[in-house]
Amino acid sequence: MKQYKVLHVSPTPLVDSPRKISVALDSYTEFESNHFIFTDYPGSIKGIFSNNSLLYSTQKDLIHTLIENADIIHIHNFLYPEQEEIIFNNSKSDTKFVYQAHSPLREGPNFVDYVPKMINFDKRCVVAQYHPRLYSTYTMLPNIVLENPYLNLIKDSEVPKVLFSPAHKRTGGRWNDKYSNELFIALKSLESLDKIEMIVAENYKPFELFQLRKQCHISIDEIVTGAFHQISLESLFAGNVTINNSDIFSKLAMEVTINSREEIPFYKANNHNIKDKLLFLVQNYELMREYQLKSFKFAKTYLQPDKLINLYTNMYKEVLDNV
Amino acid sequence: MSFGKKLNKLKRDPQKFFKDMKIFKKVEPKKVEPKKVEPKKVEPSVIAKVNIFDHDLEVTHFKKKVINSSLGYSTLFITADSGDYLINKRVIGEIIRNKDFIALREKSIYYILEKDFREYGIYDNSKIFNIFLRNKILRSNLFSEFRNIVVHNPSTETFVFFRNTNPFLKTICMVDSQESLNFLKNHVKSIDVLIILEYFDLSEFNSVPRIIKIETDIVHFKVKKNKYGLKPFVNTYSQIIDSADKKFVNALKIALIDTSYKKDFNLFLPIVCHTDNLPNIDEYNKDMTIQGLVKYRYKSKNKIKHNNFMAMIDNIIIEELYLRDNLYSLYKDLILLSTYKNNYKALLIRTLEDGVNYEAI
Repeated sequence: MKQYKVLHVSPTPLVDSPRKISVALDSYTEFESNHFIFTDYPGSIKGIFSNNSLLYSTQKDLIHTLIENADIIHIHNFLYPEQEEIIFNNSKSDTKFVYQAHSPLREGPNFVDYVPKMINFDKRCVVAQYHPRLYSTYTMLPNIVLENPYLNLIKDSEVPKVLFSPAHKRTGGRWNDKYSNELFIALKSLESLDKIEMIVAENYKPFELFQLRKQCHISIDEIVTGAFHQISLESLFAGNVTINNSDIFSKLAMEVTINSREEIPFYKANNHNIKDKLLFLVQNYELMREYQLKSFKFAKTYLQPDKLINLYTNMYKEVLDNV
Repeated sequence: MSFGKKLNKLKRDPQKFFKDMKIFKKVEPKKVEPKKVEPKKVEPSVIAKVNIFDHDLEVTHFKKKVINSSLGYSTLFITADSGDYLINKRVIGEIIRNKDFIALREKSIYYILEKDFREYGIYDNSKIFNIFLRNKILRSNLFSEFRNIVVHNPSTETFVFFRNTNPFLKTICMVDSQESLNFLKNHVKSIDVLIILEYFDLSEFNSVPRIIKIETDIVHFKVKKNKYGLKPFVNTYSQIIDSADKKFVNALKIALIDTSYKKDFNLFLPIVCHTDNLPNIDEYNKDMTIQGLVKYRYKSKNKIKHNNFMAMIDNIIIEELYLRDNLYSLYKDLILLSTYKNNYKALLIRTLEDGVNYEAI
């Protein structure tokens, strides 16, 4: 029996990120961990990210027991006041509360810093990607990928397969935008020249998407905001060339969090230069293989879940010691 | 009628021909209905009303679409609804009378009226978050057309709410009351430009990117009683305020130019640099997706692990820093302070929070 119990809670699946942390905790550490979500995403992505999560509406009693037994409750992004009440009323009096931010400020869903009514957080954390600049005093923690690193180096006889899987086409935000016309034009024109095989994946389940990614050579995250997302991390694991427009401080935040001596091997491109950069890349097989190998090595050396999860356990221990 | 037909008419009946000619024809004056003249709208456009409750905030939004015909200047002025005409208000009266600057004309400035609330600070952060969770108008990006929010002596968090509806809105705070300034200490992060009478203590506002100080004749107050017991000439408070209002509006014009206007040649300006030139600066200038250029090194020999972003920034030394012209205008005073202290941490944190994209050089 494990010594401490952690419970991860999120209002929505948050593209499966809290569950992965919970699974890694449970598998590799002395912390027992569970995860549940209050509601699933609506519309076409309903069920896609919530497959392996407990859903509050269907498992109330079980979840109340989990809340009651938890030594640490880790709340992701925010809770509605009525959800906070459920957690607060069912938890033990000495339960520690940890918060982790997953969304930007000044745009949806959070807009402003999450400050709950009743719960006092013992620690405030933030995903170590672009977010820390907005939450500069929060403890940075990396997102976790559970899959095994994989490498499928492109052969000279193959046409590079490019995977693009934008979650939505909304624009008007600073950090939430994903879609760019320039990128689409560049991809379309390269496809019509038979330089690439373009694969646009929408509404894939995470594990399906990863299987698909393993068959590809290049993954495009987004090139609009200067951020990178879970897609980029998965692309490193799948041994793909990872294209995004990650600005220097988004990358640095991740690097210093995971204690990496090297730079994360992203292939940087933006709306201004995507055409040239992409054309240059797909004509240069050596370069593609170099980036693929770098991705694979980086994932293997720095991003393995058994290693990264220690950052979480260290933080939990700090919280538990701090009576 | 064609020329041929007219010629036939002339032959057939010359008298009628000349009688019918246009120039001789009597034109009956059309009866014109006297146009109803709408009484000239004196009050400027109110775009929304905000009602503040103990636990909630209600926003009534009047206009669906705002036509922005003001060269990219577009401003929301938040003011207390005192029941009086807006033109009778301090500063706003000056703005309405001021027609010589496009950013201050109608269709550039829209007003948000909030319930007159004289207490300072109504909501704590928890309430602010909860109101954002529920309020559809705040969540719907309705004010994305606007570039600026202007407030004068704010006492409520309303400007914080509106600023957080969109990542590109800038707040200009005009302050001449100590109470309001005290209240603003809790919201330093939400202020982009502070326009303020020069004698206030600004030690807690160091991280505000732009501070425009207004000179006043207030100095006479200070020498009201000298050691001989004489009273030198003292301006009345209202006189000082009157001239201050004009100065406020002039400062507002400068602030609006800095926050709104997109320059055609938005080039990189050096903030810190040790070399004479950056070899590929022209390439960087062309790529408008990059807003800042930075060259840094670590204080320690190697990259070391850090718990939080602040500590990470603490451990890097900026060797070179370039910002686009429009950003230079926005952060002018923070840049000056950073240069003076030779410490660019506050500038870096603030620009990053505001979403500036840095490229390493």
